[in-house]
Amino acid sequence: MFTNPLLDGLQFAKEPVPFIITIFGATGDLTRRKLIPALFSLFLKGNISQFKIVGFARRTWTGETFRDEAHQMIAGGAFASVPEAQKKAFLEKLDYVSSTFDDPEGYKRLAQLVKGWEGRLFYLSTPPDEYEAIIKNLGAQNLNQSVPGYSRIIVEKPFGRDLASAKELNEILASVFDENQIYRIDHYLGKETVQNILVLRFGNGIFEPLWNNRYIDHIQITVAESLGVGTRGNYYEKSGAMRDMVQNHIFQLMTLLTMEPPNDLSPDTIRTEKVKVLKSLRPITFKDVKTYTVRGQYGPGIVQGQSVKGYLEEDGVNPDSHTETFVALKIFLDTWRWEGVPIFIRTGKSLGRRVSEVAVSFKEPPLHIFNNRGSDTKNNTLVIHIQPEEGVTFNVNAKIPGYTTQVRPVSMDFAYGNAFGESTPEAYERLLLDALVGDSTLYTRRDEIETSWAFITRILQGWAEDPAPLPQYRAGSSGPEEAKALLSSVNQKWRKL
Amino acid sequence: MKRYADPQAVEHQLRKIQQEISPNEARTNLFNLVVYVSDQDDRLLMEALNYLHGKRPARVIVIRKNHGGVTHTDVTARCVPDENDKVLCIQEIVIFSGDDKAGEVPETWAPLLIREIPVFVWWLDSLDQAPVPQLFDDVADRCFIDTAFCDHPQGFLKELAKRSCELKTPLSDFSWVRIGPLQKLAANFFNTQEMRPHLHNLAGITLQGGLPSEALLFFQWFRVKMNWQGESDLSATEWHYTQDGKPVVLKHLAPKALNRGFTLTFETQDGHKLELKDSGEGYAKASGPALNYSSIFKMPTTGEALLQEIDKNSSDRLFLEAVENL
Repeated sequence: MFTNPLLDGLQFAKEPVPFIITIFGATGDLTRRKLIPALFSLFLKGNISQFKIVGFARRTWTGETFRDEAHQMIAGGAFASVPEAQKKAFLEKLDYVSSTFDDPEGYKRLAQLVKGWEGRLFYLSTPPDEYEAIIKNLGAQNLNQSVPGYSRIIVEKPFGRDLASAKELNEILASVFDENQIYRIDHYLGKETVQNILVLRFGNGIFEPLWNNRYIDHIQITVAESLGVGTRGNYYEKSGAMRDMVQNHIFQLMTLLTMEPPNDLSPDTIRTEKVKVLKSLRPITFKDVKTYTVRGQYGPGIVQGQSVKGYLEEDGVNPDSHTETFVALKIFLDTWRWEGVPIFIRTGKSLGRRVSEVAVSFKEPPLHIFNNRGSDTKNNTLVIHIQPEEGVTFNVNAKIPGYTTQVRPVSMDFAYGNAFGESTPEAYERLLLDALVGDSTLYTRRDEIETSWAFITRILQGWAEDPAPLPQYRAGSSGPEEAKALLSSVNQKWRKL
Repeated sequence: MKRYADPQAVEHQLRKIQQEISPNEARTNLFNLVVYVSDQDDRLLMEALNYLHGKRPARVIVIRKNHGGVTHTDVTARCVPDENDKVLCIQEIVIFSGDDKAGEVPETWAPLLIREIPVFVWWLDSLDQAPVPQLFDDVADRCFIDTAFCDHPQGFLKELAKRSCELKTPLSDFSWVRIGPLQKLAANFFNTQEMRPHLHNLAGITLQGGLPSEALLFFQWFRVKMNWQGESDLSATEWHYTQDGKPVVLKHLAPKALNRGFTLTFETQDGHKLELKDSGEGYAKASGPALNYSSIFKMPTTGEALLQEIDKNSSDRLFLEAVENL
């Protein structure tokens, strides 16, 4: 067995072996907006060189059509100034298989294309109801075999819609692929700021000693969107804010924020710590659902200066719909570290502003010696901004210059865009590269999925028993009034959007 | 007593200029960059600062060597608003070093540095007889040089390696930064199971193109990684080593800037010829027995190289390894 000592110590040691990636559902929106641009970007940065991309979809395209379409996908935006010769060199690596997802003939043609490549990656970018046929056909053609090289599969969300369906999908996958071949993608984990949570916590000595119930008062996690459901009414009716955002993205943020320090950065060490957090979630039972959760639906209103429809008037939405477009939760982790620290979560559509952030609010000083002097001291808060601008802010109290001791909060700001200049890489670039080199740290493990669904499903069942109409909130507002009550226990308010 | 640069006056002027350009809040400077450049040729400096503009807020102190006359200082700033309407500025303090060369000693410019942020010194001039990095040991966190500005890069680096224990300031060589894409190309080229045996069975490598400093560092990196034995020759364009007792010959032909094209040829002990060739259109062609693919090849510009080094905490371990084994 010969080694390659040249790779040792190079910063770009994440170089995958020659690989072929098959994108199922290659004519879809995800391929157009994310996958092809991400692969092209990796190619331009020199992270990948020996590879082939195969589009696999129903549409009767040829390899040439796929290349023409892909050319459009990399024509504008950041790629507008890339020389045509480089685009051509990339497009030469594209091919296409036109087939339905349940036709074995298509997979036989795919098997021919795949032959001889050391790495074989299959990307499921189709609606979930196609997953089973694809997985079984890959198995039938032995495309799941990892010898020689490797065979891996990336599965897009939604990963189930409750515990039972998630388990069923896991079973189907496990019948063909081993767990270490399965990469369940949550693009939130590919974002720089989300990964920076671990660096911030475990790469700095100052935070970890304070990261517990002795010093932290409460945590707020907000993922607010200003857009409504738009043309996705049909999809959203079956999903809702809880399934669409909380079970995956927000729980990823929450686990990274609250997990115990891992011994190392190996995928399983980190994921095991995350699962421990999920297992420590205090269950919200039927009778507690109204105390710890708030749902809402946006009505008509004004968002970003423009009048918009209410959810029930959106295309594809049932006028009697009980689907929540807003959810707020108050949760607790039953661990030594977090006992008694409430974690408040809110997410919704058609809110006043697009904001994703985590705010860790520290306890007040034991004695308020400045508060009787017309001062306005606030809890110190560490805010990790994820969208729209990635960065970190730490709010502290400072003296206002002058003869009196007046105090007011000021912020220490770190913005990724300005500290590091160029924009951060697209989440899909990082995640695809990780899958190609076999690093599953930023992918979700089976037990992680099932443990989070176990918690969420209990709440969904509680909601299903409640026939009352959902509280409405004006589009463009901060959400339903009822959500404010959740924070009364800590005598705090939601952070401004 | 002469005053070459008045820190208070400089700060006042900078504040005034920034206010005039934009009344909005400015982003905090991230580092100091002190550049030594010949007054006669500032082309690379201008290119680098243009690239840095809008990417990193910084204080840049330019020492214009050999300006002649009386040493004096000039202050300016260029700012651009970011998406949150805060401005990113490059504050430029230019010290024209006169006949007395007073502008060249750190004592003149050190009081103008912003404290608590890193100080990078970039020697953008001939390295022959240059006091780098020893002159800056007390003030700089890192020094940037380019051994392309050296008549004998191998001699300069060997001397540097000898003194490495006494020197406290880490050093980066832009010639090394520029060969990064070539290293990557070569490392990837030999990364498949089929190609790895060839890597361990090489009889020779020929690099056509590249400056002498780039060829030297590339071959030195390759040799150290492959653990080839032998002594380097100080003036050579050809190096002879052995691998498990078999000779390996490294040749540098047709020197010219790497970004003007190159061909890297590998010959194996059993006569196979493998090639990496710059297409001249932003990618390189790899060819050999049962091998044919294209890979992106882009040399960093001076600005990109500068930014890349500024964002690093220390010298590249591989660079140090290569230099120590010269």
